[in-house]
Amino acid sequence: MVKKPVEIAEDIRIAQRHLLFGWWSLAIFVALGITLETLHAFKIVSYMGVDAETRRLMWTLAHSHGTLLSIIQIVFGLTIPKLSEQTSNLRAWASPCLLGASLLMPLGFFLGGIFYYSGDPGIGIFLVPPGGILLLLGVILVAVNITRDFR
Amino acid sequence: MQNVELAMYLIAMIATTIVLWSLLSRTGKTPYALLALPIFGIIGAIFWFPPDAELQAIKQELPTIGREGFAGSDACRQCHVGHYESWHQSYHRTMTQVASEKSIQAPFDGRNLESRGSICRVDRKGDLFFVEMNDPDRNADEPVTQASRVSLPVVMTTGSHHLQAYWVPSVHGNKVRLFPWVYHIDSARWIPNGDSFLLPPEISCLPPDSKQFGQVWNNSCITCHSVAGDVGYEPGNWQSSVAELGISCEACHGPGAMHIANQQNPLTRYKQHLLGLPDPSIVNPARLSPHKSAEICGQCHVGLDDQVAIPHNQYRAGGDYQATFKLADSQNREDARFWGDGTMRVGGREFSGMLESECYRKGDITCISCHSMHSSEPDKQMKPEMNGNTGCLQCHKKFETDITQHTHHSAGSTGSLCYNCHMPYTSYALFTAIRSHRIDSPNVSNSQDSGKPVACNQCHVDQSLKWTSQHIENWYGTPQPKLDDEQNEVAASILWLLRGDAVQRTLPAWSLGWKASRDVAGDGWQVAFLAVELDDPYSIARYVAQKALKEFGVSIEGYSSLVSPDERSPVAPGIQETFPPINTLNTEGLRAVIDSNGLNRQSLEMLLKQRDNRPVTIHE
Repeated sequence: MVKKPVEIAEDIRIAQRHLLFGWWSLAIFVALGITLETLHAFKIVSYMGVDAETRRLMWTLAHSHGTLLSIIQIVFGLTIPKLSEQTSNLRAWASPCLLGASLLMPLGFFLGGIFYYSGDPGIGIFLVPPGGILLLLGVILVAVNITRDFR
Repeated sequence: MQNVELAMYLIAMIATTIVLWSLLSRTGKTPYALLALPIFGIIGAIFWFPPDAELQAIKQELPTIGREGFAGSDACRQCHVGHYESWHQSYHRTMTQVASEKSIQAPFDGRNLESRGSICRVDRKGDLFFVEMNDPDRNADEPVTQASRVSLPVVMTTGSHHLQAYWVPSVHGNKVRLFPWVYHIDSARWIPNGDSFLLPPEISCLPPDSKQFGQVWNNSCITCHSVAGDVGYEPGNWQSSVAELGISCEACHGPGAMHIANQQNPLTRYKQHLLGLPDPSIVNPARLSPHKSAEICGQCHVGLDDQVAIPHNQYRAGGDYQATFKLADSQNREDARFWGDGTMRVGGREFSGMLESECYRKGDITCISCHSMHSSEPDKQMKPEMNGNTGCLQCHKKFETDITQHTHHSAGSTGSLCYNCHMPYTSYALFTAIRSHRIDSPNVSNSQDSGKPVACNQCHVDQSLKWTSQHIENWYGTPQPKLDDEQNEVAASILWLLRGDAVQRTLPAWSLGWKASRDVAGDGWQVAFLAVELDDPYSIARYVAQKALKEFGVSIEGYSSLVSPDERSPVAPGIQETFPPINTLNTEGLRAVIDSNGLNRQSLEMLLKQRDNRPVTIHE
């Protein structure tokens, strides 16, 4: 079945949102990566010190998750126009899930590294589990969409 | 395996493979050249790596590691990385280590160690370290013959800061015995055990492998040099066990297994984080009362009653200290560990000193008021901010604004540092003077009775007790005691040095070379008096004097503090002639012993005749 103009317009709107979010988010996390490398280069104690291992781990996780999720946003934005109209409901749900995950997970890791308790990250880390669940939901919804389309 | 050897071996392996490859290329069987790699690998492993069986055999000789309820420091590291790392740098961790290339600091290079008719040999084979010596388990009356020579592996080390001792396996279970020689790290030399402690010459001059030095780790060191050491002795069988070798996390925080189990749930942890609640299953010394906290350090840094079996393995951090330990009687004048006023005079027993202090009895002082296990340099483990007067000013704030009014010394000078007057160097340990942790005030009358050096005269080494008591009376109103003629006329440090007992002689030998005293009392005249100590019957006193002389640029070729005066001719007269003392300061305390002709030999001889020759034993 051919998509209606309204559905095409909606797909474009969602795709644009994810592409825009993904590329800007990627820019932010690449910048964060450069910042972390600079902290390494100058051996900044508050980042490189033995006591800062939790911070180092949390910020590294924030950087890696943020970067990876940015790429997922871009890939999702490129995938949407390829999907058929049958699965529009599913992708309408997948979009906020993926956006939520992209916000919560890196932010949770980052905040968890600002203030922390010895071996435990700060309470910002509590943003990460809901972010992880949203990511899992989003990915499953996209996978289901694609599976249906292939059938 | 040495890196160079390994590199050369790898080069040979690659070269052989290339040569074989090119030779076989003509036959079309080039892959066979690769067989050279595993063949080289197997040969290398056989030659360079000791068989596991030998390493396993050595581990069998060690006390069993791991006790119920304890988790070990590696488990603590998972969450407390910073604390683990700071502890890992400390000398507490390396107090007892399994013998290895990393832990052993002495050269095991095939050399013979000879002293007083005894010969030991130290050597290594790959990563294993061996000693050859007379069988430490032979019967005491059995004559030493070639047959009694044994080669034993070194299984454990003690210490890594000033001295390192080595342990070899013995019979009857996992008992380990002390190797007769220790490595003195400061002077980078092997020394016999008898010369590493302050011992009377009739003992220190025995052959190093005498039974008197055949210490057993399992019933002595285990109590403080490991965590929760259990002697595990039954007649004829030692099955000692420890939670961990060395002094690690659980020595001060208590057993950690339950804490780890309690902390598995993140919600439990965050509840404690957010509400600031402690985990009752683990001890944090900083949360305990000052006395309870100090007792944790006091499980080891204390003088115990030698007559009572030591039940250390029953004490757990924060537990009932009084019920576990019986402390030495500080008022026992026969106990050489104490000055006459009950002040501990052995270093490493700081809790004993603190117990006698008003700051502890009436105040809130505790060890971690000034020290830190985790935020300090490893040497003295002082909190960085507690160097200088800050430690004392935490409580004694009234001196903060005008310290000079109290000290009568200019602010910032040595004489205005609280601990130089209130924690002087009146303890001995490990070849040096150590600050007393009995915090008190200089008192000449007390010094007369107890023999304890007065703090003032550790800097003012050229002044008499009369001079000191006059100043103390003028400044603080303490009445002058009645002094004898020598105390009135001769510099106190010289009196202690010449007529004191072994500890009294060793401490001024150290303070005469101390920079603070040389700044005050001038340089040079001390040499003639330190020379006297080079002929002291105690090898420790000789070593300390020799080291102090180096501060004056004086070193005596061929002299060794390990050789007793009975084994050679005296060296002091020659040095006194070469460096005749001059009383440039013209202080009263030196006039009686240095006249216009130099050293007043008559006074010197007279004071030496009064020397306190009572045997003194300090095992530290």
